[in-house]
Amino acid sequence: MKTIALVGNPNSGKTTLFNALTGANQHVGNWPGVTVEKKEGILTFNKEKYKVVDLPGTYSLGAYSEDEMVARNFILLDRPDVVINVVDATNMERNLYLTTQLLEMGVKVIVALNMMDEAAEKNIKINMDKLSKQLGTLVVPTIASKKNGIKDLIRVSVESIKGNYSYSQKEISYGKEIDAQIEKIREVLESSSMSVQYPYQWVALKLLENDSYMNELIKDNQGSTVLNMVQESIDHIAATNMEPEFIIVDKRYEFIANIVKEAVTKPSEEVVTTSDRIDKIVTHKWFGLPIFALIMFIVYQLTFTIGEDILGEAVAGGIESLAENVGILLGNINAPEWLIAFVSEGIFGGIGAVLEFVPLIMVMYLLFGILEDSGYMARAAYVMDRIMRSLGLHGKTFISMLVGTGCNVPGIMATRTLDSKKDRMIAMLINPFISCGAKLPIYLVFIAAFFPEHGGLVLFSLYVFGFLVALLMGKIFSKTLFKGEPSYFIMELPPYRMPTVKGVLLHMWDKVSSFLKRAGTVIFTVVTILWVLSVLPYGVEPHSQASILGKIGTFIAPIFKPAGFGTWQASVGLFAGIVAKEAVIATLGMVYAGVEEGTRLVMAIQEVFTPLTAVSFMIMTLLYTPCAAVIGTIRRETNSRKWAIVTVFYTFAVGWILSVLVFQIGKLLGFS
Amino acid sequence: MVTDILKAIVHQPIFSKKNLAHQFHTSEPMIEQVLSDLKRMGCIQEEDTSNLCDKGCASCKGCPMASSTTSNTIISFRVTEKGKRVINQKNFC
Ligand SMILES: Nc1nc2c(ncn2[C@@H]2O[C@H](COP(=O)(O)OP(=O)(O)OP(=O)(O)O)[C@@H](O)[C@H]2O)c(=O)[nH]1
Repeated sequence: MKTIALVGNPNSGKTTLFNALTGANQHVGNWPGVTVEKKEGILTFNKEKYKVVDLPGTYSLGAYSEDEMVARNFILLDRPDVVINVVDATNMERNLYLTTQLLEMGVKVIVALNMMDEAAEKNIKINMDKLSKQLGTLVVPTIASKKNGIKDLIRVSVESIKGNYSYSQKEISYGKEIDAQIEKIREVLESSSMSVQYPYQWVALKLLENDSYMNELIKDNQGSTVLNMVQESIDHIAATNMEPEFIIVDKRYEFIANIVKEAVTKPSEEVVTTSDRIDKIVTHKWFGLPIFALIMFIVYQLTFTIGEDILGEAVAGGIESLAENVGILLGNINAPEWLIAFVSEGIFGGIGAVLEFVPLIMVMYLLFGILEDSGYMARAAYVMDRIMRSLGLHGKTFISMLVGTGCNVPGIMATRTLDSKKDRMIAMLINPFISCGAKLPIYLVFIAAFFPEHGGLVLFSLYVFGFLVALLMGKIFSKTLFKGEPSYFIMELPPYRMPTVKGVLLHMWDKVSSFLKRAGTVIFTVVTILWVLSVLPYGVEPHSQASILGKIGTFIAPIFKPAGFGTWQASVGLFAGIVAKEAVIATLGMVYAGVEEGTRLVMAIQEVFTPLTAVSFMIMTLLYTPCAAVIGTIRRETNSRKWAIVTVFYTFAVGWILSVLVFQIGKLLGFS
Repeated sequence: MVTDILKAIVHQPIFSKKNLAHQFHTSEPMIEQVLSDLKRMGCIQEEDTSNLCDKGCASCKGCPMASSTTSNTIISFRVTEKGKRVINQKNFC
């Protein structure tokens, strides 16, 4: 039975056409050895049967993917009697790329110019005669979805199989030099004893093009002399021109451009679109950065207005009443004293303090999600790229920082995309200064206690401060420890789009759920251990300085005295924060759970801290030693214990120095 | 065209397919094809920061917030040694 193969780009309408050709007469299986679907069907025309094979949709016929290999091997090894190339008329250029490669293979091609209805709608005019002449193939216009043009296509295919058309398909010239080398290699292949089933002309072309599959095949066929010769040809051409693979690809594009110029007329597109105009402003040399800052400020401001004022209160109230009810319930069932204490102080005091801020975190990541989904973040990265470069940092450092705002672990992983060791080391070492999601509850508690009117501003300033410290340290590192050349980095600006509700919600849920999961696992464990430490030794007043925890805190506390928060509670909190940042608040929530005047942590904090010490404490938590997971990641990624230890101490030093400076200068200026 | 586009994207480190399409009088899908050719030829490498952790790095498990990576809308490319060589070739115009 004669065979017709269908090839085309993904979404060109190939399957629709296949269905129109074969009707219900189909069989679906797999190509041998791969997971690519194989579709075969039978076409009956004038009582004769033809096998129709639907090849996987591909843009090209290289050796790049399984799909491409399946399609190209079928065409070259199974040698179908005719190949129908489905071309999407609304996207001629890219579709013709595949056509060009089919012509190179020297197989009989019929072009089914599909989607003609959409082309007409888009006012794309195609001159069939010219197209057919330029390609040297038959061209049949179709609208597969309406079964238009199918009869013509079948008739033409059958006639072609029967040899009723004389073919004069275009042979692409790659320039004299390459054409000559192809000829030379072809002759050598022909006279060799190799058993290569592919057409020699095509093999010669692929070898010059550095096709990995073809190179292997020839090597396996004891073709090292051929390969040596090919290499000579490549070197010969490259000596006076570019490497042949570039010339060949360029010629293909040139060939296509000529056809399109001759045969296709498109309505001229609007040159400057709204998106371009927006980009001009948001990526502007001078306005870009202030706009980015303003947008971020609005994000933090909205986070507070919506997250705290509207949702936060409700959740806090909910947790409080739940705590009360659980307390009563435990009392009623005569639960042991210690359990009641643990539940009210550890669970509700500690973990509850962290959970109260879930609404805020939700709103913040929701807004971030919208910014990201809309494509704005890529513009921000562009704006920052310039600043980074001027500081001697790699533009991609900003991307790792952006990732770091979620969590520094992936932030540090994201530095893997920096190819120079120097750029990468710097990016890793400064990433911990970017405030991660887990630190949010700390700021939020302190803001609620002292700056409820300026929540957005304070939060925004903290992020900016962390970012500036990161840049400053980066600059210092690039001038001292890691010198070297900046490297090439290119980035694609995606088009703006309307964020989808689903995308944004998913993004938010991702973060909130991991936050919750963490509260239930890591934080729970930490809180349990700390609670036990704060009620031991037996008989001591719980959560007092005499407990083990109190003693540890008292031992560390003098270090923080110059920064204004040298209490044992704050010290224990910071210490616990090295395990996980949420533990700072959980610990404070627990140890202050019994403080007079209410059990709410915020009120307790108001008693013990002042606005100035609150600021210096927030700066400390922003900058000091990152959590264990981050330290571990730095160790793994730098493959050096030394850098992990350096990070532990240098970030602590930076945090300590800056919080001491803030406190001392603030005091001198008369703040309290 | 391939080499011209490679040169263009290196010289204007932030590009959009649309602008490139205008610049080279072609269509966006065609620019996509060129980029995929440049990738295939090993001149540029696409970098994906969005799912580093999906690539089997157990280390991200250290912090559940790790799943909260941003920047999945940022697509960046690295110019490889081969790409740099092509750009700097003296025959390259
Ligand atoms: N307007 C219009 N739509 C078409 C035409 N042909 C196919 N389509 C539609 O285009 C879409 C893609 O068609 P498919 O046949 O699935 O495309 P394909 O080339 O097989 O795609 P892959 O399976 O990805 O290779 C479907 O929604 C079709 O209904 C056409 O001529 N005109």
